[in-house]
Amino acid sequence: MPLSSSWRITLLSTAAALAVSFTSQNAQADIPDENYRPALDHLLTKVMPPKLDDFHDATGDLTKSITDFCASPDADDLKDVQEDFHNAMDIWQEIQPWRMGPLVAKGRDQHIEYWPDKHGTAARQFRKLLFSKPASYTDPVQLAEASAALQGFPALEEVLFDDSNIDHLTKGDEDGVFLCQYGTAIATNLQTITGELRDEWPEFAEAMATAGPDSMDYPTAKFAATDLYRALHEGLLIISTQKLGRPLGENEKDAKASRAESEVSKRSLRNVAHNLTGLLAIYDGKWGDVGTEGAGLASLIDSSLLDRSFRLNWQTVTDAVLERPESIDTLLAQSDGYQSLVDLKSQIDFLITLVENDIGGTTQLGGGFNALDGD
Amino acid sequence: MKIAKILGTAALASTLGVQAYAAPGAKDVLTTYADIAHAGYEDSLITAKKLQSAIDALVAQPSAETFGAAKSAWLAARAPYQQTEVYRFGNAIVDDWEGKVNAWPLDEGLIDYVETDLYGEESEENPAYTANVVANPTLVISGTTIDASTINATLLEDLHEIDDVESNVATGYHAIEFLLWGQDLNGTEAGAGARAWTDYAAGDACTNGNCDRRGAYLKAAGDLLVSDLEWITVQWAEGGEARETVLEGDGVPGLTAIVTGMGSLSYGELGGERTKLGLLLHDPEEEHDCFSDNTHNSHFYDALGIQNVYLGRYTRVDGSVVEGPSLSDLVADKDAALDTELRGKLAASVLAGKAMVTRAEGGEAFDQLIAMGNDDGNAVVQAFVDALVDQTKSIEQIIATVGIDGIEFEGSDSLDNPSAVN
Repeated sequence: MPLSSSWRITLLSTAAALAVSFTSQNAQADIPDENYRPALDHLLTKVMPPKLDDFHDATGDLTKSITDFCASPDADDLKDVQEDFHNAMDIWQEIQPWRMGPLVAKGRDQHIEYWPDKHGTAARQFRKLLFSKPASYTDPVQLAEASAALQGFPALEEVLFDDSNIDHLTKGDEDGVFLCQYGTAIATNLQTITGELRDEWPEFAEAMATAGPDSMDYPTAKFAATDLYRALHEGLLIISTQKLGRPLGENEKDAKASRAESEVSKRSLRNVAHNLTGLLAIYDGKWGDVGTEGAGLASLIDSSLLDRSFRLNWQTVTDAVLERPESIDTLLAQSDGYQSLVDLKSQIDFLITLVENDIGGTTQLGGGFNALDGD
Repeated sequence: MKIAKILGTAALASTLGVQAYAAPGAKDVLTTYADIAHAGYEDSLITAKKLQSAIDALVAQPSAETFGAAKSAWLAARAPYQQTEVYRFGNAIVDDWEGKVNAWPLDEGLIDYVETDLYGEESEENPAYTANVVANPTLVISGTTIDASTINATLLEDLHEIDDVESNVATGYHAIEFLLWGQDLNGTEAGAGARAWTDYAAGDACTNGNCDRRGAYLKAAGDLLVSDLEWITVQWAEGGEARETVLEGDGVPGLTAIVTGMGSLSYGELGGERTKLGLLLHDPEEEHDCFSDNTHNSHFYDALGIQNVYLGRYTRVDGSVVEGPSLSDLVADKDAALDTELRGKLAASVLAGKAMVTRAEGGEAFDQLIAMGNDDGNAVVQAFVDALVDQTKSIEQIIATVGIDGIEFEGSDSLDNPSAVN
């Protein structure tokens, strides 16, 4: 469904109205460091842990379904595995923007999903893998030491959704047997990683939530809260420049859906929708049925007008994503698809501006603050 | 780090053989910076001319000896050039130019024959993935017919990054490297590319066909490298645009260029894209000098170049030394402890780079070090990454110390926490 062209006017007029309130905000004194602590505590110790449990459970379900499928391959069972893949990806895409602590330690985020693949490494390594079929890649323990491009969701997506691989899987031929064993190893490895993530998170969350002079990593609560603000800001930047910018290319002629994330399983915009859910949780403090509305970074906003308009703008962009197909490939195949994707990127870019100017300014977490400026 | 702090600035300067200058002005520091740039590019030019002569000799009289001499000349040429890479970030004139001489990674199938079982026969991203200029007098790329009957500098320049695909690298060090070594088909096992000298032989002795065209390509690439290095050397000479740009104004733009170059090369480019990514993927295709297995040296000299510009001291290929008032002196005048800290960290990264060189000279090249299951080798490479990330944090601190701002270093997806360094 084509997006109404009025969105731009709505967003711009909201921003213009807010400019007045900002002037007064900027004149305010520094936010006391203790004011950052409730949001930290809420987001890190109450909101995120249940989501990491969900993620671990989802990868467990995925491991079970692919194991069952491989015991007796048939097309219907493969659909169940694909559905479990989507469920695990949905929750991963919500968690993905929270790039901090155990999520990025040991390159864990890259092992869960190596993307973007600027040099086409995954395709090259996957081709080589199928050529030689080494047994080590069917052992989850050994797979954990392998290339990041061969051990996470994109590799499993290739196994489960590529037409040629589906053919091998359902036939159960030599390639199919290897792909089944390899796919099971990937799912098992993901289950292990998500278990580590769940187990390591509480200690990290406690360190951030109790930030203070005794901490080497987080000497102030504001310093710790900056990581959450950065996650919100960078998450939107990644959607704009990579998830939408890469397939858009330089111009319509240069556009390529294959440069989008998760396009083998046709879910690149579904990923963006789930990213937005996880990102809004940083601001709002409520994530699905977990958490409390207004207890995230929003708790630092003392202007109800600004809060309401930010939420309105966010909802407008979320609706715009949901109105489009789940796949950029499908969208670009439409006559106005390229422009529709350009419009969506513009809306995300506008959200970035709001985060930088409004949220970053009002919470005093953005707008030039960095860890070395004496705060 | 602890040792560096105990020794103090003066002792470290003495250890490193560096003359400490008392509180220089920004213009003095920038003059040294430009002098080192000029010397580095001039050394790159001198060694590239030796490479050019060696290529001429190979093409004129192909033999194992002339082929080996050309490869040795290429390796020698890399040492001074890599020390100039720190000038790339922060100096627009260098960044706009450097892709002609050091673009990487490349889809080598554009240039010559490749082993397609592993390389593949096509790429969705690159219509010229296996265009093979050496074998084909006429090329059709994205529907456009290109006359490649005569291989010369103009053709190579036209093909470079053709179709706006960055990996279509037709010119520069790595194109020459491929033409001298060929693909490294050993994966993460021992051994570099094993191209035979007979790929340049005349008549029936010619292997893999089109030896005359391959020689023409190599010669044109060598000639282009020399002319490109001549151009950049002039830019850093007295009155040159690059020198004038860093020296203009109150010194802030020039100091910004120095710090941007040090930070971006340390973090996003060398630490991230060229090193950590290879480790993450255990992939020999991700190594910088992948055909010759010279990556250990390229990385070491990159790290040395970062140290050179901070200390204001560069040892030329003839052994003479260019030195003068440095950014280190400027930082020490304002925050001696920070200067000591950064000197220590720069020395540590150079040492970590040297550890990779030592391993390679002992028979374990970079592609083996990053291999899956080589925990000890992986640790050597990771130590280099860690040292580069660590020094970036101190480089970031000198931004405020010397009174500059608005700097953003190059990031890298492959590093653990890009947001840790702005």
